[in-house]
Amino acid sequence: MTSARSLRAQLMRASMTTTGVALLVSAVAMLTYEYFSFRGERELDLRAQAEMVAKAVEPALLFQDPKSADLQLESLREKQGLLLAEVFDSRGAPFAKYPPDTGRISRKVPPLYSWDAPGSRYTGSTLELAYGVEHEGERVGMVYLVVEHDITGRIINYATILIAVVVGGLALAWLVFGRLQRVVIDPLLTVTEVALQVMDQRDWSLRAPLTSSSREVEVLVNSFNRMLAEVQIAQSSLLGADRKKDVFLATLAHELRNPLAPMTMAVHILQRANAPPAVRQKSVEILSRQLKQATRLIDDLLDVSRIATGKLSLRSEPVDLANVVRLAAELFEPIARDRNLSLKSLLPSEPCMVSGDSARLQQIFTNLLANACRYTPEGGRIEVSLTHEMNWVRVSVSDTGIGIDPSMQEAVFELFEQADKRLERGNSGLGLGLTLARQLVRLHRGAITLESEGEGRGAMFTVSLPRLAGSDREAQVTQEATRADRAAVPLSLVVADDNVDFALTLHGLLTARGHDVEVVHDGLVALQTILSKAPNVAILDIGMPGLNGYEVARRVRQSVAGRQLLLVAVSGWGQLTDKQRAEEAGFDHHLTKPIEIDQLVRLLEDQPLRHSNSVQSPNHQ
Amino acid sequence: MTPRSQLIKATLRAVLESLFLLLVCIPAQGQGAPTASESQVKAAYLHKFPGFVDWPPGSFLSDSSPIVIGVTGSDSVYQDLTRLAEGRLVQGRPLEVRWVVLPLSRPLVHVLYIGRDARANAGAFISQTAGHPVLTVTDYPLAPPDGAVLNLLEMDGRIRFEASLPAASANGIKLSARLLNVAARVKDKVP
Repeated sequence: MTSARSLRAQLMRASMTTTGVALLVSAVAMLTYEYFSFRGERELDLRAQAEMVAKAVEPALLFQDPKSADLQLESLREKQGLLLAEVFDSRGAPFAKYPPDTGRISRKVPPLYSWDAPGSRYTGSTLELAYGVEHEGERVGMVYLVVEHDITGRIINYATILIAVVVGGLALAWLVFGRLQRVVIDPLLTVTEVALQVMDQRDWSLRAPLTSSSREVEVLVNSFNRMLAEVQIAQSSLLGADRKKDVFLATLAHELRNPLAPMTMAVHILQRANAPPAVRQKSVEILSRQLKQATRLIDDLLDVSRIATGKLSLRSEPVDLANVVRLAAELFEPIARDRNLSLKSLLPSEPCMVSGDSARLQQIFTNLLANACRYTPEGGRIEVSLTHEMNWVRVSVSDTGIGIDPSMQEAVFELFEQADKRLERGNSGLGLGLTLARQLVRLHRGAITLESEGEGRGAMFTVSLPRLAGSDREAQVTQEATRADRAAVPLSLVVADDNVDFALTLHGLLTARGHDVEVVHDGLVALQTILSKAPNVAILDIGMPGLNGYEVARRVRQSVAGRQLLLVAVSGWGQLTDKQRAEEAGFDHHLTKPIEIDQLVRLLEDQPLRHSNSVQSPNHQ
Repeated sequence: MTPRSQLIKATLRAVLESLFLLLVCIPAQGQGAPTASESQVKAAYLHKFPGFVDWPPGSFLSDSSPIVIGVTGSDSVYQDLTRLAEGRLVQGRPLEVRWVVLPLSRPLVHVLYIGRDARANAGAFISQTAGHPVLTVTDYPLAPPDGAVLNLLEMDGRIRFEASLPAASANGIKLSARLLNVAARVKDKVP
């Protein structure tokens, strides 16, 4: 609770400071305004008074009657705070005074004011004012008044009141804010409490109540609750996974152990010297079969784990899916027959290309078919079909087997899940088949879906894979670099031919397939380029200026770097003798112009790479 | 000492003494004008009086008609007043100063000053203006003639004046209370 208290204290401090500053500023402003307006008031007041006096003493000044002026001044005696009232004549000499004797020596016009510019002046306790007396626009004298002002007193009074107001205001603010801040603080306090409780008791089912209407606090509380919910889910799935793992280990141990008994027995038999050959033969068969089973199990496990850790690598090449499915179906024909199941394949005769790994693709359908066979009772039907749309190829494996309850349809793809543990006897009894299948489908950028109406109503698995565009063999006309037009492995080539057109055409074709091609038109340059560039392949014309093709080949083969590269000769001469000479010079191949592109491409790309700088294909295993 | 040097010394001393006396004797004055002479003061009064007097309607042709001040019996006052009146306005009216003699011409002046030199004819002047809206100002401190509205006198070393309310009302003019306040004496009853 200590942090919440200090939050409250912080808020209070902030609000008090703000209020205090605001109050002080306004108090000071008001005080200042009062002070100046007092002064102004006093001055105006005195000025009005002086004006009246001036008017009154005007005749006296005009007609030299100081006594009359004295009388007029005397009428000021009631004025509060008047200290001195004097009248000066046109020469600045004293004319009349009230009170008659103040002990102050009456000067001539007070030196502060020049005769031409009368004005006022504040001292600490008095206000002095000089005012000109005029008659018909002519200055005939001056009135000089001195009053005591009580500004200081008034200001102090006012300040006292203001201080009281400020203090009172602060106290009030403190009270009010104390109430108001609860609206903000309490929800936060509640969340804090719940948080502490959760951490204390590790109880993820607790939730913080939503009591605030402030947006941010609402967000906080909701997020907090959601996080708790997620932790709950995570915890339960962890526990679930843990349990599943235990089950899996148990099953795994069991399954691995299964083959061991017959294997042990078989070995026993083989160890005995007196076993008849037929029995020995049977034992060997048993051994072999059980080993295969165990190996398959372990291989599957390895695959799943490799995919999970991202270590499985797939080849990526154009694959005829129709063919793959056909092969898989063929594998299962005997098994289906054995179990009295009818297995039908509806596959198109023309190829249907996708990009992927043919072995793995086959594995997918093998798994699906294996499941179909396993979970369909005798007399049932299994059907495999392939359809292709514009962008997708869809393969369906459907059966009339025991089906999968809708509630389980997502779970069957999970690791270690088996819909029906009754029939676990058999291959791959660990429930890995569908998991692997889905993982592999996903690696091929595809999707796998399951349709089943429920128990006893059969099931249909559909695999969708992205179709390889424009790859069907009859559609190959364009030179654009589609995936199928690209070689699996880009090569580095040097093309040497003094026929510029031919060289450029070759350059174009090969670059389109993703290779790196350098073109030269001279034998000497060709030799230099080959030796410095060290390409994978060199295609040399025989009749070149500088050095002819044979000579280039000979010299290339003499160099250390040049012994490995693929040398292809192209020439207009195609006689047997020409081919022989090429072979003697060190060429690997001889092509006669006009050359067939397919032939050349096949030559280049079907060869294993022979240069250490080439890009390696991903390793399997 | 030679007689010559003695003479020089004596002359010097005399000069110094008179200078000293002069300096001492010059009264300390404030800022402003040097001491006004008597006639100047009287002239000043004469042009200030009209500001405190109400003439009956019809006394002036228009709002800008001048106030005519007739002077007699004092050259100096006449001169000083003429000088003072130049460019001055009283209640928005210019001042016109005239030297008058008997018989008074019509239209009558607004203000009539009868100086000391015209003592003999004072009575005639007054009777010729009696009943007419004229502010008569006499300058006979010791014996003011009857019928004069104002009379200048001296008091405490200053030039003051006395006022006669009956004379004023007889002439149909009204004297301001402010003026009466500063009069040395105010006659309000017919003696």
